Amino acid sequence: MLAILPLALLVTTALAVYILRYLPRGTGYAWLTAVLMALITWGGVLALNWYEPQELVITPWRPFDPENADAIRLGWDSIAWMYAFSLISAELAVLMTAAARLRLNSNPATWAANLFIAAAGIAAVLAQTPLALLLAWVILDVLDLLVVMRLSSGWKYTSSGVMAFVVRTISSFMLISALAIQRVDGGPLTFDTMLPQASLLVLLSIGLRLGLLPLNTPYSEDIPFQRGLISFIRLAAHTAGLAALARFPQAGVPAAWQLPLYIVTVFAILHGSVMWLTARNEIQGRPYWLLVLSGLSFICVLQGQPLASLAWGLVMVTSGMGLFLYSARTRGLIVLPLLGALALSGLPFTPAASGWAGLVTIPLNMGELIIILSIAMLLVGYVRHGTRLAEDFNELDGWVRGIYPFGLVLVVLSGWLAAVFGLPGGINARQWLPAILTTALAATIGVISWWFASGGMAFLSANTWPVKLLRGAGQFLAQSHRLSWFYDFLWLIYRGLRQLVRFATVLFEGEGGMMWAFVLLALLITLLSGRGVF
Amino acid sequence: MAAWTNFIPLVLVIAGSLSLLWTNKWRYNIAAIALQYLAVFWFVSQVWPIGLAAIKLVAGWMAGAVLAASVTASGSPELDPPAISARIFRAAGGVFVLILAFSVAPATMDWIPVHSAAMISSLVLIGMGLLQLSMTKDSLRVTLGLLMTLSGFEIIYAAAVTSVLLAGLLALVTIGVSLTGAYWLSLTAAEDPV
Amino acid sequence: MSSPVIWIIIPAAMGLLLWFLRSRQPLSLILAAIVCFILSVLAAVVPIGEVVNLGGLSFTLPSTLPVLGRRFVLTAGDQMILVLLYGLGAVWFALAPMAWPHRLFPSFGLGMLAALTAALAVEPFLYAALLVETAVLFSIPILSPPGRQVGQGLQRYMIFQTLAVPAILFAGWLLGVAEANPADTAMFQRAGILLGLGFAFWLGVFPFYNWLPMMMAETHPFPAGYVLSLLPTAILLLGLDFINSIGFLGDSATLFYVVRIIGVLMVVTAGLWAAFQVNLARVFGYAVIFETGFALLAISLNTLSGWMLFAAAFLPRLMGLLVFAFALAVLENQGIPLTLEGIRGLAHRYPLTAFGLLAAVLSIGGFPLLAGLPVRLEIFEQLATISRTSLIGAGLGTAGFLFSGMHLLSELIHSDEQEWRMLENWPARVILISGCLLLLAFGLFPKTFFQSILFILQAFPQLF
Repeated sequence: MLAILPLALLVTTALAVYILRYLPRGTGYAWLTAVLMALITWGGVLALNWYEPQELVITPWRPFDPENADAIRLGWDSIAWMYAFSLISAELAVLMTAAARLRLNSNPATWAANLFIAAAGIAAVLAQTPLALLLAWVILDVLDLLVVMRLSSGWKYTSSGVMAFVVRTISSFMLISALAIQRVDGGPLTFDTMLPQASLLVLLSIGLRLGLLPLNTPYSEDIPFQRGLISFIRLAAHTAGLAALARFPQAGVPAAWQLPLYIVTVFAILHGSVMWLTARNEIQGRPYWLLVLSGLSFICVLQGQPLASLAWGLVMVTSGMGLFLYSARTRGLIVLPLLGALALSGLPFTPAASGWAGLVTIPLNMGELIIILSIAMLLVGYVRHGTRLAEDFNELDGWVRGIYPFGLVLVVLSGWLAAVFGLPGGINARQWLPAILTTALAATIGVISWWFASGGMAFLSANTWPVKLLRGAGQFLAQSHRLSWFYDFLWLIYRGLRQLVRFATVLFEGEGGMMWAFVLLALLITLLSGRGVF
Repeated sequence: MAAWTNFIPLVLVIAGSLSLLWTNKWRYNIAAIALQYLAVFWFVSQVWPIGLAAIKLVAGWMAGAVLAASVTASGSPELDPPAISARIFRAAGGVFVLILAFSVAPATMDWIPVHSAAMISSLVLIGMGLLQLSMTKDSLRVTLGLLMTLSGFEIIYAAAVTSVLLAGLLALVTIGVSLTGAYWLSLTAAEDPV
Repeated sequence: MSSPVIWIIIPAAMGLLLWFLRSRQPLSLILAAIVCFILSVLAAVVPIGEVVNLGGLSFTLPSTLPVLGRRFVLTAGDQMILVLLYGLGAVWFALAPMAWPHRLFPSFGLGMLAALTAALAVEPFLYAALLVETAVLFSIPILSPPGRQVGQGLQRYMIFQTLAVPAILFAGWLLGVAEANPADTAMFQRAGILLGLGFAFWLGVFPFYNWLPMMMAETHPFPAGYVLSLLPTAILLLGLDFINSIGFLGDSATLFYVVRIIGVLMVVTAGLWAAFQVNLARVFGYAVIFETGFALLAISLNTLSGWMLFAAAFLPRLMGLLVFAFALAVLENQGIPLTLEGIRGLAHRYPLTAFGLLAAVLSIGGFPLLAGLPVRLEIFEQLATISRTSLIGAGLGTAGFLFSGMHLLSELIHSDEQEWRMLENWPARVILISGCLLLLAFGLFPKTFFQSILFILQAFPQLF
């Protein structure tokens, strides 16, 4: 039961925060409760790195065929700890920095929602079996939809939520298909034992959920407000997929599918990095941040290095959250986005350094060069968004100015902490060449844009030919493998089926419906008579 | 009983079922059903005791009476006579069913212990009943169609199984179907005719 | 006093009594609910055929009631079935005052229950067809109450249910002939086919399905939901009884193959047809066909797991249909059209009703976390070991049905309103919340909730 104690704490805190808001000065009590309990949970999760509790096992979950039944197992292995720690750090940062967003409707209800989502997200990363993963995924999907419905100011945003829910439901059912197909082998589906067809389905389901296969960004027009809650839920949803990726067996990808999936993912990464670089701000670019880093993790799995994906996932959460929460800015806090960028760079002894093992091998091929270019653009974009002018930090209340930076520092440094204690092999300097190349390329892009610009990197958001060229290239990439032709084909099938169903409905429910039913009955009898039955 | 006498009820069945298809007048329709049940009684009395067979007749005629009373009580307007094209279509359908019944009967007699007139009558009733059901949405005609189908089945079944309880239950079903039809007629008094 | 008297005669008599009390609506409904509840509890606690000691008084409840040379038999193995049927009745009658307090519902509803129980109890079983027909006749006034015109859907319901009677009766006779002459396999085949035809008429197998959605669109969803919950449940149990009792059926690989094909056909057609529906009442009709299809797939497995799945599926099926029907009834009673266009943006005005609708549809579709998944997942896994084609078919049908769920979701929340209101009255809120919580509980803790329902299989010992 210790395994789910952090989840229980988070859920209980969420309920308490939700109730406390009704008290006089309830907002203050709610915030304090939320921060304190999140801090305790954060400390507890940190401690679990050294003390791994016993797995929570529920088997059999269903009372049919118990020997072959899928089990629900939640456990704190190294993968779970990594992602859980990064999520709880992000959660704590959201709560600590919430005071800076009180004017933007940050309130106890959203904090409670955050805590619920944190619990669901951690449950997803603890999932040691596909069935447990499936249930956790769906909890997250439902929470995401509820949040969108509640916060949305119109159908424009709600429709994105519905579309995302539909896509994730398809992903969940692909996982269910994998569970079913694995049974041909006799036993249940686990991350260690997968038939090739089942493993492909699992991979595709994760890829679909992450927006990679096929390329889909339902939240490309995301809710522009509630940056803490929305950022967290997006990160949690992606982390739930990445944790499953990290558990994928090394030789789990069917050989015939490796190259096609690799090509598709590389182009998705390239598209995402271009869109991130040219986004108006970090919130508009958030879906592409998630897309690129998820893509990098996916590449690691395709290359047979699933544990290398942990580095990119860690950076996605910690560096990403550090930037997304950086709403109130001042010169003194510039070190925080720079730290986040450093973590992303993959330079020796940074959190992302061990991620190169899953991306590149020397000598580099075309795909790897594109990956390096994409990461470089990601870096440039990160620095650009991090150094952009925004809300003035000095306009915040005094006590908020005290706690706000602490929240940002915590999440960024937690990334480093997790890398030191949690990454397999810790932080190292094994793969320094690609990191140097990436950083050099990023610096070059940065210098070129600075040279062309009259206002620093703001050039990249101006309506000039390089931006138009880049955007056009990004859109071409998106179009070319967003599989519009495939969706058109699906639409054609849909219309055809609809016509068929309408025709059949009119036929069987119209005036002559009974006669048609009896005609078919007579046909059946005739066929059977031909076989000598009647 | 001489074999040729079995063709009298067969003629009654054919005439009654064709009449049901040809005309919409409820009086004629109910009379046709009554004649059909007479034919059913005729056939069933050859394999069951007269007293038991009489259950079929009584149940059938009661069903007819219930429907007739209901039509009268509901004040439903008489259905318009069917158009000539409709009559031709129905007649053609009826003839087709007759041909089918005559051609299929010998094969079915191999495994169902019924003489030819009874088998043909049964198949005619079942076929005409199904035809009736597929060509109408008027509550009365639907009920009559169901009664026809059930009565056709009862001819064969009586030859196969002799059971007082079964006879009683089938009679109850017959009356129940007619009561349902009567109930519908009371609801649909204001319905437009077919 | 015997078990058939308690669970057939008494409810039938109560139904007759409630007919005379029909003008006192809430009272008759409450009485019907209480009677059903008591019968359900009695079925759970009083052992049939065993000595019962009550203080100084001891008695044995006989399991047989002879009637005109035939028998009605309700043994200890049937007790769980009685708990299920009368429990179902108790819930529906208890909810009726809020959903559809019609004067004919308690009396004819109880009559239906009694007739179906009699159908399950009668020996020889072929008489069951006539008793099912009696139940169908009892359902007519519920489905087409005075003041409501009778539509084609209802007529077709009556037609197909009635046509099943001769098919089943004839199959019974053929089986007797075949058993007397086992060398003649053609007779067995004919019997099996006629039996199958009868069940096809009863259950609405393609192409005899059209009455289901048509009838749902023509009637009030609550009584229709009651009939479509009770009737297919009883018929499926009857089918199992036939397989249990007739040796050659249980041994016939062909039978289970055909049942699987029919199950897949029902799932595919229901799922596909539901995907393109704009009328929610019709979606309900397809949901019934969809669930029945999966029940047949469970039967087709012909293994211990398969029988367990068949029994376990009753809980999510009945719960899902109940919540669905109640939510539709709330909308119908408010005069809201039961179309996708009519419920557009409903979540902002009737959030609990919207949630109930969605939870019910998704549960029936096998959405994770909800009641339908545990059974559905196991059926998929078992099908994968037998037939990839059947798995794909079942998957396609499920995708179609879930598509209708997603379409429903989209319409329910399609609104630019910012305000959230809750226009349901308090009883409706409590019922909808309870229903949704139960759907969630069944989905999260299937082992806890499904264990008890598996005892239904005690009535069919020859299956194992």
